[in-house]
Amino acid sequence: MMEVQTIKYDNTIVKNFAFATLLWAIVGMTVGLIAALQLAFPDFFNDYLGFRYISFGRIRPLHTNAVIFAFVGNGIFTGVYYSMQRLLKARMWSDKLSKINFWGWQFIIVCAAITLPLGMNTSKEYAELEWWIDILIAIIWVVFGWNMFATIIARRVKHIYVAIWFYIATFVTVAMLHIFNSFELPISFMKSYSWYAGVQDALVQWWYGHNAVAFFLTTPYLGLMYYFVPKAANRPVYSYRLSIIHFWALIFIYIWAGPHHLLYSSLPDWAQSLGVVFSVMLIAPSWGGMLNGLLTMRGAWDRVRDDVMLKFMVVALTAYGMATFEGPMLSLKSVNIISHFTDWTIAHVHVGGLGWNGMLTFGMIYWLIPRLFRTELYSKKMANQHFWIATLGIILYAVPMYIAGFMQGLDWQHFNPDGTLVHKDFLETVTNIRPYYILRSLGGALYISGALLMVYNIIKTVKQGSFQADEEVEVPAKIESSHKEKEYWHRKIEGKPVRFMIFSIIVVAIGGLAEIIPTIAVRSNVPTIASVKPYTPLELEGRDLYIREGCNNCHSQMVRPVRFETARYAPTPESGGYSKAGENVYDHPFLWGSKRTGPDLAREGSLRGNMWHYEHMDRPKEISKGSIMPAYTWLRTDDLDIALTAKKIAAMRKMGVPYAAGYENKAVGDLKKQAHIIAVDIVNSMLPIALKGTTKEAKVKEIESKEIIAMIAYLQRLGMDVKVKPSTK
Amino acid sequence: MLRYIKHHLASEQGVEFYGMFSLLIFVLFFIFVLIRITKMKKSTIEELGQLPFSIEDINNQKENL
Repeated sequence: MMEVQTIKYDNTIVKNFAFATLLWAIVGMTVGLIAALQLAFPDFFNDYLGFRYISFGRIRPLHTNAVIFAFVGNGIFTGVYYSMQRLLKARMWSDKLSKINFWGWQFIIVCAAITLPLGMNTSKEYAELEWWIDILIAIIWVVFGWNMFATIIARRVKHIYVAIWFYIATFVTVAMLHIFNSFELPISFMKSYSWYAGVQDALVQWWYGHNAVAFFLTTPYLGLMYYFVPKAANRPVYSYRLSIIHFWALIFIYIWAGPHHLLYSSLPDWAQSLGVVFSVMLIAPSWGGMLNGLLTMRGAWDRVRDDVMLKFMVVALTAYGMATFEGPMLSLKSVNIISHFTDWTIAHVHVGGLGWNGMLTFGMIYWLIPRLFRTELYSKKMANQHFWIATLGIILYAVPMYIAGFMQGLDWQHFNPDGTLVHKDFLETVTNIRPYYILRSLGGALYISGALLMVYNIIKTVKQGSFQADEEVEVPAKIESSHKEKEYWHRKIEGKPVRFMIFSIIVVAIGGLAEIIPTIAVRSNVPTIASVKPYTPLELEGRDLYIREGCNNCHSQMVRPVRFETARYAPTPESGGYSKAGENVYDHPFLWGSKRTGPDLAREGSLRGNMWHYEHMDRPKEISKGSIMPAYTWLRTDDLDIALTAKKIAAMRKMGVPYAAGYENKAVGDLKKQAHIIAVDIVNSMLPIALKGTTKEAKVKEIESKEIIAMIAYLQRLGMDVKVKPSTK
Repeated sequence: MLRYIKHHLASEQGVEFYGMFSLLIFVLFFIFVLIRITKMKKSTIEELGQLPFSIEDINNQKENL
């Protein structure tokens, strides 16, 4: 007779994470909707809500961080803390660590929600949070991992179910990615520079960025899928054999795929090709996993009609299948040349985000809450309504974005028979897609209203039920051993969690090392360009303003080496041509961007006068008719903060930027001189009426210390190192 | 491959070897996993698939079949 003992599963931690998931879902999606509305109705946001704290460049990172790390992050913890205890037949090893995990994570989210609107960000996508928040994330992540491994070690079952392998892979890989991508040199409490520069920074960033999708939005959710889909369908996963192949192939291949975010960029071609090959291969394990989930429903499809949880899960898996088919297609260079920098990418990530992560989370919450509160769901009808509203919302979001992306991508390439661009004015390609931005907002609004319906349904369910904080269960006192025969091979690593973790690290590290080491170590990958010089102190400050305002969320700095790109951005032999890796060697961080809501700026320098920028930043819609760019009025009213200029120069030199020794002491003086020259130029171009009765000297004095001057200095510098100057030709 | 690391990839010539080698590692690893998995016993596989379920769940499933 097997010895049994009674233990209690900790449901409080699951409940807390589930509630946090709901809260941040609404917050993150609402911020997304505000961002979407700004593109759809820019006039309203500029004229009535022209607050710097909600300008697009600042809240777009807030939206992505909130939905990825707050909504999905809490969703991961909810599912992991629930399923792990049951799969391992053990309470979480330490309630205290669980609590630290919970409150620490929420604290990080609140820090993000405060700092990002204040413009404190690193500019690196999905890693925008500043250095001390990065440290907090690392600490809390380790707390989570520690608790997880201690629980695995204290388990009362012999085998570790496949869901938990996915959790382990998530833990180790996210830790590795986060730490490597967050190497940064702090300048002050709220400012740091990426340790990497230019093309290397880009590679590390997208190695991280792509794998944030892979190991934060995918692998943990696949783990949840392997637990909750069989539970909801009440039948084991279709093929456990397939799940083993799925796991190892997926984690092995995923880590290589990052460079497909940098196709046609100045990343070395071999790295781009490597990214493409592995991205295409990725379709096999992704679809293997998707089919494994869907086929779990075999013989139970009739239940999908009545069971709303299963409906959510089926749509989630279908969306996963679509997104993971589309991903490899988008990574083909011929498709990518159309899709990259357009809303096609936005459509793609939202099929994944709203469809796969959103719907799976909703299904899981609907399944979990009635069980935690020992009651039935308050209204199945309402959950069904949520299902249809959300599904419709996804379609209404994605379809207009696909059309917009495809249209804009083709518009950029459109030539007249005489070889000139049809849409020479970039703005035309934006105004053409404005109606789709409005439709997309509607799709997003629908999706949120569905989520609100769920929140109401869950509140009602919670109120009618009684929460069971500690769920008592009888479990074997020791590890069960039903197999007396020889252990099968996988058990040898799977049964030893630490060994399993090390093996997982090796598997994911192979891809990372193969791409990163050569790019970091290899000088020939970044051919030096003799004319490329470090930024002047004023330009450096301007660059930091560019980062603060999140300009890189809408403007790329990467002219791709194809004719329609150079025809638009570098049309003459003197204008610098397409972007080269050597141009960015002093760029800590790189600012290539990933989306063009506005035009590319890599060759912006000297294209327009200082006065044009001075006016344009203040009233973009008047200067460029039809522009959807927000006004940055505060750049003209706020003084440039030069308290850290010297420190910034010293920090840059520490990272290898060749400023002369001691230059930091002269930096502020040089900054003021350059600012004065720009201010004089602007004032000289002003009409007398603009001087408003003051003298030119007084006006120069008034504007030379403002932020706008630094911003103009930076914009006027872009591409100047490679543009051929008439005098030196 | 070592030549590239030792000489800091002085040139990009022949760098395709790097990608080929990576692909080869993966294919070998994949074949290894595939072979080992086909050799696993059916009873073991079934037992592993049932891990998320309690005894009652499993009895339930049998009744439903």
